[in-house]
Amino acid sequence: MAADSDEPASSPIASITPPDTSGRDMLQGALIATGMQDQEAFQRLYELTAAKLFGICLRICGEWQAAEDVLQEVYVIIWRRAPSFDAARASPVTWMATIARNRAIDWRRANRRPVHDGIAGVGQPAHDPIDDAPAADMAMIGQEQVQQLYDCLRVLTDKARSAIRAAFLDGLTYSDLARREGVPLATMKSTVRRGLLQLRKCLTDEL
Amino acid sequence: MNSDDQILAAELALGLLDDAEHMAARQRLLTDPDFAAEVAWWQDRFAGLAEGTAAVEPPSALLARIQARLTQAAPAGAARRWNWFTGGALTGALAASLAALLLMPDAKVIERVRERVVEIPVAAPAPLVAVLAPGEGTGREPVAAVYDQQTRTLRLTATITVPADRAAELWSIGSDNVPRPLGLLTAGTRGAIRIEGDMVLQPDETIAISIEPVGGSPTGQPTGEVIAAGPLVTS
Repeated sequence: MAADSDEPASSPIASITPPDTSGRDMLQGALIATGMQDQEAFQRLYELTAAKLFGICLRICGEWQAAEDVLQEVYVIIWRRAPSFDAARASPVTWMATIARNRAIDWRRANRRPVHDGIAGVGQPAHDPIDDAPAADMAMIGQEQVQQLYDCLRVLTDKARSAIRAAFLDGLTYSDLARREGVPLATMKSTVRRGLLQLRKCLTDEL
Repeated sequence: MNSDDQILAAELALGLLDDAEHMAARQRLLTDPDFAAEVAWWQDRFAGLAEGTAAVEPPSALLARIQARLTQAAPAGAARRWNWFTGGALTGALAASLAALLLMPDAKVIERVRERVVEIPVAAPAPLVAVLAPGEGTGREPVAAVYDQQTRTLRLTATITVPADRAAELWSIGSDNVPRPLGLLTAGTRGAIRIEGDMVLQPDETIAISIEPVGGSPTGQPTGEVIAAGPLVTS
């Protein structure tokens, strides 16, 4: 190993693109300050993230008013729970988006909403992101990791990939997915489970 | 962790499971740190998919409404520590009855609380309620819990019995799927439990009670039997 370290890196340091962490740092700073009950930081945090989180709530709830209510609750939760945010455990945007998704999903479960097609033109992606390079707006997560996820999703069957995406983006359960695709529940489960296993293997493979 | 558990973690992270399975999997976050780590891993990985959701500007008045809710619910005296009770150690008896939590004689408590809310000014947040199901094979009855968001007190509708050399500890998992200890339920205390400091129960939490060594879990995770667990909902 010592011999290896004497070798120069194959590309000079200067040419390595630094990871874009500025968005993440800004968000993390705002979140940590929010945890110290800094109201201005909370406002900054809101301004940085509200449109993203509202898009998530709207898409999953499928109703404007419900999405507004859920979003309010989400920010109250973020304010109160920010003191216990653990940066070692999740990135700020993942943490906040997880709260928004789970609250919206809980609302759907509590209100027994049927599978919806979304509000026309709202909360829907302009394109299928699986087919494209990931957009840059979430640089806060880490571009490499996002790219890897997209690459690995491409390995799955169309059915598994589309089910996993719909589960994440629209908050659909196995039952919702099975109904939507007109297949038995057990079939949907085994399709998705096979896909998840494949996905995990791909994501954890040392390259 | 076997591959079934890895898949279950992904299913929880995605929200694929039906209600009962979803709840059971969330409760497992409290008792199985490896499982909790696996769920966190999947959440982090799937986060990239959020790019598939277009950003939508919320109505401009929303921030002010949120801020109003925050001021309204501001804690009086933000002590960081929290000691629910100053109860002494349990002594003697084979089993101690934890009245902790008070003793409303029957399950009508939820109804009553709901009635009372009508008299409170409109702005008062509704109580949160939970039915805590007993852990499998514990032979216990379900317990209802009512949390008053204004006074930050929690009431249980039944007495919880724990062995004399053990303590009952309350836990919660929020919608970030991170488990947190809420405190010990100490014997001999009558009336409601008050949660001190900045820990506030939220409507997105699942709460659980486990049996721990006196003094509480040494690990920050439940180490003993989870005797009751269930999600809070707005009443």
